[in-house]
Amino acid sequence: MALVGKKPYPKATVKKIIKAHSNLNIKKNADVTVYLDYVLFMESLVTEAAIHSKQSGERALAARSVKKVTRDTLSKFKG
Amino acid sequence: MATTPTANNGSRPTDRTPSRTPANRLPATSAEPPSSRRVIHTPLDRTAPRDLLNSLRRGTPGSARRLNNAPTPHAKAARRALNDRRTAMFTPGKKRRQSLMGQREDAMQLLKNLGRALAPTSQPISSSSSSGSSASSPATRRPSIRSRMSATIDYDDEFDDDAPLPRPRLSLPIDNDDDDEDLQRPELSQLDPDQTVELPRRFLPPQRDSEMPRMSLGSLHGGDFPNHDPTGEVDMPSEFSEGAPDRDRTNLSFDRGTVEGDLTRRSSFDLQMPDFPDFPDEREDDAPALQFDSPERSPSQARSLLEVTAGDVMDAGGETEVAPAFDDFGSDRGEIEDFSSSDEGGPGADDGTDDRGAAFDDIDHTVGDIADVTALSTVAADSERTERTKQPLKKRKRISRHGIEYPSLPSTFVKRVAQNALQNSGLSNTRISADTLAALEQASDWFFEQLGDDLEAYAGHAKRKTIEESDVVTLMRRQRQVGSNSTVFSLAQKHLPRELLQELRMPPPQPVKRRQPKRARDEDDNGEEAT
Repeated sequence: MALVGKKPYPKATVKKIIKAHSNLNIKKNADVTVYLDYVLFMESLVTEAAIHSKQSGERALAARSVKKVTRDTLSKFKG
Repeated sequence: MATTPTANNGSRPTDRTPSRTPANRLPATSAEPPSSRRVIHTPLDRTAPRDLLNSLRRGTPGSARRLNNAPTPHAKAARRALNDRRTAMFTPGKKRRQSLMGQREDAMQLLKNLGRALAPTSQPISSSSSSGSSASSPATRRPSIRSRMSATIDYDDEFDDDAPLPRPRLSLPIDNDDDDEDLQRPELSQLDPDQTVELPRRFLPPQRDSEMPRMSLGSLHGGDFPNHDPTGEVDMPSEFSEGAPDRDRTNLSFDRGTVEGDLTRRSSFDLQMPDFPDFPDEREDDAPALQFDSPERSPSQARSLLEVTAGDVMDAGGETEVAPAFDDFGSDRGEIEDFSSSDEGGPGADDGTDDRGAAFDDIDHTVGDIADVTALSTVAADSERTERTKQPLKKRKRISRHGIEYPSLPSTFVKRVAQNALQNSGLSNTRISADTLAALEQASDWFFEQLGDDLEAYAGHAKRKTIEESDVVTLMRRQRQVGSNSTVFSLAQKHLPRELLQELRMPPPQPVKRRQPKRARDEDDNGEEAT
């Protein structure tokens, strides 16, 4: 995944985003799980979008298909 | 051989023994008929002795050949068809089908007959619409059947012979429809009366994707502009008294969205307000506000400034250099906030349009009075900078529902995660184009917004003020990411780098212990979607 020595993910940014959205503080290691959830979301989104863009005959990931599947994937990740 | 001395056998090979099948080998022209001849007799077999007779009698009816060569049903039908065709060719055309006339009688035929009967006595109407010129036409003067038929009921048949009546109108009037109530033109919602076709119209909100909230088709709702909800205003002063360092809020109009905040920010230094006609109606008035484009933006400047802000955003501490400049300004801010709240009297978002405008004016003037020149200059510089950096990179900073400004995820990070995911997706081309990346970033933003809301709900349900890992795990279980056949650790093993895995394992075992029985209880839902 991430290269060794590189930041695996912007921890502070993720924390800030969640803090802003939830208006709560975040415990120390909770953001790792959040990042894991984000990775899973991204995986699901990209997979769906890849299927969609493959069906529409694109060879690369198309922005249109990403937009199309975003809603479904988000509702799938609704807690 | 001695047994075959005849001349017609001369062509035959002589080594044939007569004992073998003499009758079969006889030539067809031989005089004596073999016994087998009758059996395989065909009508065209002229070699047979009977055939010689038949050839003489050919064409004569009642011959023996006729008996043999009786016409098949197909031949009969063909002959009959031939005869029919020949007779049809020679019969005159009009009478050909007269036997079928009775069967074909239909309405058209009746009309034809009528026309034929009427043809010598009536005259065609010259034109149906021009009533004035044809008033003296012979059709109306001479009462004919046709005109009587086409006349309306008003004209009685008995008066036909009398004075020349005005010719009945046979067509619908086009120009004067004043007295007809049924055929009113439909009232168009269009303003242009000359246009006869009303084209479909659509409201196109001119904002871009990043400004749209999730789950809404191109429209904005109050959630994105957090201070529209009445509680936001109440919360506001306490947050400012906290003095969060990462919050460079020069947004003096506290119940506005980001972009509107920009507008007020810009305008506050001109000390004149742009007129917002009635902004509390979010759905209509945010769109033009978002449409507003700052004209004085040079790309090179924006890029250089952008790097600075990007660095700030990426900074782990989140301490921007602008923040101290605002701290001395923040003392005034509480006062301003009090001012505005006392002016407005209430946090209702929809009622006080004019009051609010007045409040803005007052705030701006107060800012101009209170703030010293250096603070103003830093504010101005910062506001310009945020304006410039926001526009090219889809708004570096946004304000959440709770009025907290937050940075957006760095696009390199989004791209990296997406690229990792794309390698497992099976597409041949794993490159991510710019607009795809933009869409992915948008989706990530929405995801984090949703995630924050959900985590807040979970933590609030547990009456905690901190989001714990168990909340996230609960969320993931609700998302069917953690289920019967995958744990957090298995997923982390799959998706996280090793150092993060260690970090995930590192925490005190208490939440882990708490997690295990929960997952055991959750064995029944197996909608696992993680791959």
